[in-house]
Amino acid sequence: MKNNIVIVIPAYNEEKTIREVIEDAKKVTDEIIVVDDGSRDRTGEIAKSHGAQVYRHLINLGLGGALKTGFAASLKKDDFIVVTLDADGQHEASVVSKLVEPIKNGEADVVIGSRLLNENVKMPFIRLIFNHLANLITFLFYGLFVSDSQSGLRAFSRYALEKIKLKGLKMEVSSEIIGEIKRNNLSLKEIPIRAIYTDYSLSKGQNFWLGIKTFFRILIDKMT
Amino acid sequence: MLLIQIFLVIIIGLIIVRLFSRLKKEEISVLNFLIWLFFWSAALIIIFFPDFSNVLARILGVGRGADLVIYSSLILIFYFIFSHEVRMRKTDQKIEKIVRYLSLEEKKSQK
Repeated sequence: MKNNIVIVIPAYNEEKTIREVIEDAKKVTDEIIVVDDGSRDRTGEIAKSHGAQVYRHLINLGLGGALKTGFAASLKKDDFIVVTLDADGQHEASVVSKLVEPIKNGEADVVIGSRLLNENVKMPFIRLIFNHLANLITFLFYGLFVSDSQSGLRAFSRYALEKIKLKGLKMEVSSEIIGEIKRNNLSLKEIPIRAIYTDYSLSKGQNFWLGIKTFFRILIDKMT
Repeated sequence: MLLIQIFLVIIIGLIIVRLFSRLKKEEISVLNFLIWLFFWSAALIIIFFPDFSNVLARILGVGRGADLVIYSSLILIFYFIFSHEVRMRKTDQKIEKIVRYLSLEEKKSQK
């Protein structure tokens, strides 16, 4: 295992990008876990043929469901740092070494790669508004303000991973993770990252209705 | 008796009979049974004594009996939507557990 890093990639119907994402991730570590979240395309197959450890979901659970499987799988391994990465190709694996640094130095338990800390944020305007809104909602519900609550690029120490308990099945886990950092008093560090926006990656991920749905899922989660 | 009254009483009578048979088969919880029984009994009372709803409405400070019926129905509907949502979450969590278990087991057996 190169430098004790496990990269977890939740993937749902990402056959177009998964190969590149894995090849990029391989530059950092050999331990790559892809959670194929019930894809109907060849995502799992491609991931496997490129050397990733593929965990297959029989049906699609959602981002939260896939992340939790990835975490469960990595907790079976030895001492390590877990880095999550989006499968749509918007993250560059080259930042991973920067991301895990604070954990290695014992400065942080969780590190978030923030797209909004960057000096020249290249995020489409409407996305920018969504993300600020999401940060606000996350703060209101979970009591911790972060500059990019919805970022898929995160690093966790083993200690943090053992502490974090997530309920959500879908996108709401992103905010829940922030809540768990607060609840468990984990130390958090945010590091500016660059995100690569392509038409493809923009067609994935959050949109207006998903955002509304996510908001209601958080609301109901908080009520139950 | 008005035709509409006979019609409604027959329907509600059938619903209440079904409610009891569901309780017997344990298809619904006792709490839900009681809520529904109360609801349909209240409906029967209002059908037979329409003025009663007006009296009740005046006591509660709602204008008309018909308004009271609408308000209480809405509250009931919201309650059931919410409890449905909660139950669906629980089912989701059970499915999630199975899917994750299968996924981890499948990987284990490949090694």
